[in-house]
Amino acid sequence: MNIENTQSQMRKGILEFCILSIIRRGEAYPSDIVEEMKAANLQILEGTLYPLLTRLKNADMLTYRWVESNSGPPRKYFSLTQKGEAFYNELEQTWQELSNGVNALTNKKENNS
Amino acid sequence: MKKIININLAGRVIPIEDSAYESLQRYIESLRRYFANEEGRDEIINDIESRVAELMNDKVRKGATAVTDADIEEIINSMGRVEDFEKTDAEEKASASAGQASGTYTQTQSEPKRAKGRLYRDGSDKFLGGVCAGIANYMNVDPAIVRLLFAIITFGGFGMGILIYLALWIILPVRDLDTYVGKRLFRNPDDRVISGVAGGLGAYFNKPSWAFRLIFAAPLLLNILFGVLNGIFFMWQRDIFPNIFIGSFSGTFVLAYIILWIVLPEARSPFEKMEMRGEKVDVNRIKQNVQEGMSDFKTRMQNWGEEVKETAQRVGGRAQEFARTQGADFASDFRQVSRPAGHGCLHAIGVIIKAFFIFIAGCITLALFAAFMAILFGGVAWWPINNFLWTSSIQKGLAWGTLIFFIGVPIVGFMTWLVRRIVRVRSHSRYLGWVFGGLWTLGWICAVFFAVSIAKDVREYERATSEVSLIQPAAGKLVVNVNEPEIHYGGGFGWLRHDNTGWDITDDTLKYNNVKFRIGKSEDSLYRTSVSKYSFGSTKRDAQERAERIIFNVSNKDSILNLGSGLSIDRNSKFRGQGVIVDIQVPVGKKIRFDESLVHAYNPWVVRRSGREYRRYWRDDYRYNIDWDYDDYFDWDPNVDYVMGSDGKLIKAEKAVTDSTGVYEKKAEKDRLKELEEKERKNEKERQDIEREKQKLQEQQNRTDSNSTGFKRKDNDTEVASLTLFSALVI
Repeated sequence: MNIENTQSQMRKGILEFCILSIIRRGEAYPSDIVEEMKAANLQILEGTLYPLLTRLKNADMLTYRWVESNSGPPRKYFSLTQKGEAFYNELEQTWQELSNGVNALTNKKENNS
Repeated sequence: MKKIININLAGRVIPIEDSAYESLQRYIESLRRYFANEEGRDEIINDIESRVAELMNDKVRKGATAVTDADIEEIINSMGRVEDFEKTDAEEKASASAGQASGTYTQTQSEPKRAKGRLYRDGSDKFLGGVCAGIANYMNVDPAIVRLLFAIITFGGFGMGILIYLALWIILPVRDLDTYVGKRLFRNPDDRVISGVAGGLGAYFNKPSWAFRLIFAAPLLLNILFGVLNGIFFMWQRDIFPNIFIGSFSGTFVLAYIILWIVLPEARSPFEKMEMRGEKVDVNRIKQNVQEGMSDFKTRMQNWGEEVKETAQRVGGRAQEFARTQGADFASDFRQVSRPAGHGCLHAIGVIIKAFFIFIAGCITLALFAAFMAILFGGVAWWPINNFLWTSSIQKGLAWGTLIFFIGVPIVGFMTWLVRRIVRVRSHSRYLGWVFGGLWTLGWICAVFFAVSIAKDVREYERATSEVSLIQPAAGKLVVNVNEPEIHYGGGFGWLRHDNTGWDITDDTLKYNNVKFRIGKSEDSLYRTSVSKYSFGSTKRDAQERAERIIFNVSNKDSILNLGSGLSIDRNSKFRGQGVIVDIQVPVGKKIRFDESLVHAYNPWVVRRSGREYRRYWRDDYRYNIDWDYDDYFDWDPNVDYVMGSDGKLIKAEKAVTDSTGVYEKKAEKDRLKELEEKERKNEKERQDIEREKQKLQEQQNRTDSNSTGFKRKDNDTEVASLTLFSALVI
């Protein structure tokens, strides 16, 4: 049992939730997602983002369209589908429960000690 | 000093340093391997590539002349390395089932060894038993080359390759070896005349490419040269130029070229070009290989990923077992080749059948191809025959179209498929199939029109009959003979053997001996003879004219009817099944005799005489049987007098003639009588022996009748039967 492993596991769980929440706000370009996550101090590698997006897209959570860019070939912009929306809502609910529960637990622990 | 190259990545042209490009290439490949089992792998890779391209483009736009090592490093770091993903994925991988975790990914970690100094079979890269890959590994060459060589040895050496292969399969131990890295065979687009095959070979073997060009072109050029020379010097040409050999030889090389053309990928990127020349990439790639295991797997991963995975799993599972028990190696390997486990013996048979099927199919195609090439490229030598075959230039064109597209295209297609199977290259484009299909369709069209055209030409059948005025033989015996020298092939064309008799061809005359006989009863006391020339044609008139143009000599002197040795057709009338029927009517009671010269001159005869010359019966009469069903073929013995019976059939004159003067030999008669008596006595003795033995057996059977002998025998029979069946199966 090492700390890194546990940490990455914790991050991994919320990764999809974070990504979906960013995309939910509007069409997003993968590198923008990375930027936004970094700004929020959530580390993610672009290399892990792409497979995740593809997986979500293949599961019909996401869809994308090609947007012309002024430099070079068109870029893929991702947006949420209805299914993705529902998926996100469920995740959000879970997250609320989870964060409430975790907060309650950890705070309680602090109080006790 | 750094070399800067331009690459096109995801639609952007980017200047990049040579070494940076290599590390980028390595990175992309490592990703490809990492995501090998991912469903949307290609898409992921494409996305990453285009993102990388974008990032590099930014660098360039900010003013960099080219993307450097440091830039690439930075980009890769921001994208994340495989190791980083692995860290992230570690837990997931561990929790997944063992079967899931293995596959290409485990392969990476199973540390394949580069077997130094020992020859192994390669368990991880195999077509049948991994022998070729093992040899390639041992000699450090591209396995495809060894496979091709093996195929050539097998096809050229009448199966020698298969024996060697099986022997090595049994002898060599299996081991997971490194996949080949280093120089690879490509077509070289920078150095090409036709497609760059010779250029690629030159780059691969580090020899000037004109040498390879010469190897490919020389037999073909020689063939054409010899064809021309043969055409000029055909008067005294005898075995000077072994053209059939050169013909098939050049065919083989042309075939080899075409197949290499189709099979070998073109070295498009600078990286591939370096790979082709074996420049520098060697060291880098081996280094990389140590790190990552199966390096050179890019294309194979894509196309054969699943297969390789299966093999790796199987090999991996048995690796330790192999190390312990080499004895069981062969058997278990056979099992391993098969799809599902178990039934080792059955699958061993399956594998052997597979091998033999490929071998035989290959042999057949190769033979067909050699013949096809000989016809096609022996074209110069073929012209005279063309003179006699085609009634119009359209027909000639259709004939060539049929040959090339209808017959040639499937052969080339099959060869290509076979070689692709052997070197494990998959189609780069699906256009190839369309091209083959299109050409073959064209071939079908040609073939149909050709058949129609020929069928039209032989629609009508006509005869031109002329009476021969005979001097009635004084002795009551007509002798039929041939005085003209036998038709003998003059050897005008190098691709044919010279000892053919029965036909001859020169530029303007075709001669052959399609002469048949019809012997009938004369209505009066006179011998009569008529000659019917016949032919096919598109119209009655056409056939009639063609028949009349046939030249066939008949003359009569004293009691001898002298026939020509064959019929001649001139160049303009073409060959359309022409033939001659000689009608001879013999009065009842009169004699006729066929000279031995007839036997030599005319072909389609069966001469039934033991100890003497036998002649092949060339059965081509299926088309001519319009005039042919009166009589069977000529089956009278030569040099024997026949007498016409009142029923219209010839009967052998009672006494045999032993010499040509016709003196009857009395002794022969006596001898014959003696012989018959002897035979009778012998038969009698034999009959008695049989009788005695039969009696003995009957007595024996009576004695053992109630025993179970009958059953026993039956058992034996079934056993024998099943044994036979089994051995038949094994064979």
